[in-house]
Amino acid sequence: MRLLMKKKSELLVRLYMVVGAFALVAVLIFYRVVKVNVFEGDKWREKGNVHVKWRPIEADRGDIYAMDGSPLATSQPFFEIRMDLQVLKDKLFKSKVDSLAYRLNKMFPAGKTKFQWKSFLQTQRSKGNKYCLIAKDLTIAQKETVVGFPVLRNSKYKGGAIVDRYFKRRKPFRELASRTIGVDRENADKIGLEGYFDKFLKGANEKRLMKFIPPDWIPVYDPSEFEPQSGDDIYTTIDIDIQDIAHTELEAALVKYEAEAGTVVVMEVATGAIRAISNLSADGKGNYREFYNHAIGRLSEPGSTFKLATVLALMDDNYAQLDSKVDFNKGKMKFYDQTMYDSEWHGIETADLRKAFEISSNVGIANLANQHYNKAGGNTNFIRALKRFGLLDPTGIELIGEKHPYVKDPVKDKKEWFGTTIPWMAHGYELMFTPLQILNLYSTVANDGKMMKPYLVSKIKQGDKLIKDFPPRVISEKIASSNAIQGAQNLLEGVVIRGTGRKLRSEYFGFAGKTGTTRINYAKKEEEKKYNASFAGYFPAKNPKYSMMVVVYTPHGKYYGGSVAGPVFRNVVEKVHNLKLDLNKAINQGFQLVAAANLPKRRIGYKKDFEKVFEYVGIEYKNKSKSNWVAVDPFDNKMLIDKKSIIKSEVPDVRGMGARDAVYVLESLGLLVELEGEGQVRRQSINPGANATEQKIKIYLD
Amino acid sequence: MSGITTIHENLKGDKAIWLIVALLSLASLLAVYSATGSMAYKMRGGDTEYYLFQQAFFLLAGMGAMYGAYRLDYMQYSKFAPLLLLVAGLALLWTLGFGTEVNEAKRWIALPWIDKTIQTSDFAKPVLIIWVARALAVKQDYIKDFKQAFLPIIMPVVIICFLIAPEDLSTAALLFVTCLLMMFIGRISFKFVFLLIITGIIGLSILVMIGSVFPDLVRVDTWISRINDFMYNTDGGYQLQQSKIAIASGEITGVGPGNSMQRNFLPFAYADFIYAIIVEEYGLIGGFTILGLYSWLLFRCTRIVTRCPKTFGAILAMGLCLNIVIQAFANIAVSVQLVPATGLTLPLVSMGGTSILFTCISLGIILSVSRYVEEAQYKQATIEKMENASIN
Repeated sequence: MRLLMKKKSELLVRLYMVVGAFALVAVLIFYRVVKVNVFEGDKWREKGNVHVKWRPIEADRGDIYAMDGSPLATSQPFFEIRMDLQVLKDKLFKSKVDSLAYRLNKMFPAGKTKFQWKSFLQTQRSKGNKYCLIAKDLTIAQKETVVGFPVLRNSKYKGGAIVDRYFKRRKPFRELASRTIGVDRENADKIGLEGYFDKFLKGANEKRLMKFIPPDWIPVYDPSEFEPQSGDDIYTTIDIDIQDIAHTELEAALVKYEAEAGTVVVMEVATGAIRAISNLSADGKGNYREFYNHAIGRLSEPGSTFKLATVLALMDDNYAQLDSKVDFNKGKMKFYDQTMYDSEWHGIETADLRKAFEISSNVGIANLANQHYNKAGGNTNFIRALKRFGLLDPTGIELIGEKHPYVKDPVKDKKEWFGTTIPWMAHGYELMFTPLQILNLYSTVANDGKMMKPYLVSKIKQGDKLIKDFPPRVISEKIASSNAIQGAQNLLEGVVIRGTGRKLRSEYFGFAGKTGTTRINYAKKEEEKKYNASFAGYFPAKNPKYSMMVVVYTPHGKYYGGSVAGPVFRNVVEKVHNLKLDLNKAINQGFQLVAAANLPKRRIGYKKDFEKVFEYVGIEYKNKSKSNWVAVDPFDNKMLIDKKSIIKSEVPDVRGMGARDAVYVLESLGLLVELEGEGQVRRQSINPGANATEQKIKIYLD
Repeated sequence: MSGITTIHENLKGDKAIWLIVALLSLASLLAVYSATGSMAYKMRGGDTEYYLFQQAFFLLAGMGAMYGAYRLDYMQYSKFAPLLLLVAGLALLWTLGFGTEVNEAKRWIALPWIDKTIQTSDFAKPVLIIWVARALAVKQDYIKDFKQAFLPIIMPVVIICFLIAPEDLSTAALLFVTCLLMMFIGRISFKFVFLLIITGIIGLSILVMIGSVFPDLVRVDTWISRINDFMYNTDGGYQLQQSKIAIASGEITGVGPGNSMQRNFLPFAYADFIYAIIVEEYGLIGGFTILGLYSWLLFRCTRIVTRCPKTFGAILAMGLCLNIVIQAFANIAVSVQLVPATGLTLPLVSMGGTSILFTCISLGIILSVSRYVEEAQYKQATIEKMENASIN
């Protein structure tokens, strides 16, 4: 027992020694905590006072597509590679800096030489740069190559590679509908569809903590760990073929008449889907660019195109029929203190409403309106009719900045309501609309009085998942009596057959419409007279499929709607007619058009286009390719469609392609295209097979 | 009331230790939630509770294991010690050969039946401690003898530590020191203890030599850079500076729960540097509390040892306790640059699965010993009472 006690006490003595030592250590540790916290506290708090901020990391923005799925606006990811030169071990750096410099020089031959790279890396390392820029604006493939280089291929804590991703917005079709597609601007309001659908397109941004270590903000965490939610894709109603035609025709007219600006909108009658919307403004250097969305944002007095509303009101209120007698007064008449003139001399004393509309007599239409609406209560009836026609409200198109129509109210705007107001309103003055608002009335007349809401976006999708569907929407089942609508259709057809649009008439395709010539600076008598020329209508005349509005703002030389805007309208109708086979089945049904004709030469382009053409013309073809881009060759009385693959990193052979296809292909590879001439591509400034980096390429067409 | 009574009846053993475990678990939940805020934000798509729930789950599982270890009569551990030691040795060998690499260290083996990895050394630690306690107790009568006592005990210790060391030197060193202290308390001769220290130094040197010839085999690189940092950089490297900024930012009362800024800058804020985050958020008061809880644990275990009539129980409880406390002190000492960076976690507080599980099992065994001590004392008191009664 004594022995046991002795053993126990020896054990306890040793135990107390150990515990005592631990107590000392605990005290020492706590002293250190206090030292850091209190005695050195200010120093460390000062050091910790780095500038820190949360920077949003943009998600992959959604794409905007045309009706057929070709991208109108798309985000391409680009990468920036930086290096934390402080984490590198001496051994690794010294042994690999030469080969890294060599590879960097080979990768970017235009940049630093091998020796410059080496000394750059060494200097930056000795400066302790933790965020040293190596390369930026790299494509995915280029980034993959660079992070495979010596040193950089190691893990981030050993090799120091920091990869930053960002996006650049591209429009593969460049100017086509570019204002409507819009701009995704960083420091200003986004415009167009980019702005209106921003909350879908932008996706969910992430935030990253950045701290300021002069001279750079550097991420606290490895950025590659972030994977923000990418944005939804927007599918528009834009038909890229019609858009292309509208753009080309409008541009040609603007150039020809040195106009200030112009717009063309094409809408599908049955649905209200906008198939083309082109807005061009002079850039002061002789070119026309998409700067402003005139079609939805520019209010102006419509002039004669508004007469449709006036006669529709008169017929719907049963004040007039097509054959109602109208006093023309030889094209000159005084209403109260103002004299009104017809724009062309005709010398007619009286005729019927049809004639007044077809020759666009201001006096005739104004007289009739004056007679029925310019009295107590009558003026309210006129405004009420405009309300029924949807002309008092904006169309509600999915774009920011649609202007509200300006129409006076006889009660609310009593002080500005004069005796002359009704006669002037009747022929399109003292009120203002956007081109789209006027177009919607014409479209409704074409649609037998059923008013559709004009719309630009049909679907929003996240990958293959439908997020939102936008079916056509009816605003009003019937804006006027069938009688009035039929009358209006009759009048619009007459304008092209016998009236101010008769020169535009074609034997092969029918259309209906109304010219407009608006004097815009009538208040300033001393200035040179300025006009807007317009043409609104629809086609084909029977069973219309599309409605269209053309406005040319302040043309020079000619100014009549029939001679400036009318030809644009006509040309678009003609080309769309030829393109959209379903519009003219009747013409080539039953007989082969080119049975014995020579087969065309080799061409390159978009496969669906060729198939359409061959089917239409009746040439046999054999399809050997599933890809979108093809070459077609004459072969054994057939056209052979073969694949024309496009390698992502090489400049493709675009010779034989049309301008639109060539620009699309080249720009989608990141090249900047300059065009010369018209027609098919004959020559290209960079040979096929060269490395496709972000550079300029010029293509010559003839 | 009956619920509390039930708990009271079922949880015998040292009540203070139960309380310490509860308080440390609470601290763990708070600290892990704070420290993983930004990690959860980016890795888990904003699900900031993910790591909190995960930690809570581990702690609950740990408590379960602890209760199981507590219910088992501690003498049972002695019985299975040799077998468990063999398993641990083989597992360590397996890990070295086929382990899974995490954060550039191969310390893990994948368990085939559940989709988890476990850190083998976490398992080996208590096993070796149990075995050493058993060996010391068995050999008490000839404990001063070199061949009969010292050598048979030290050999397995050296082997196990040597197997852990290549991938995790800190844990090996800690385990070695724990065993050394146990042997010291277990009355091994002073001169052998010195011999042991020298053995340790020689073992380390051999490892460094192997490492410089086969850098892939031993992580000598990391050790040297850590020691360099400690020796020549008075302000410490990046991590240490961030840690000190955190400690200083807390001042006396802290910036408040969830307000840590330094968690964004401190790598592994939820593990190696969690103490710094605790001081940042809860101030010197919080820091003192955590340090105090571990010191209190050591005090309570000392109390058990002084009252324990059996050598095995006494040394076992002390060994397990020392292992936890040394690791805690080492972790905290790193945050204030008292020792070089070790990569050791704060037991029970840092985020982690196996580490929590085996720490809890260790605590359960300590409680099992304390329950035995209480029962023995109760018996003793009853006997004395009866003796007194019979005398009267």
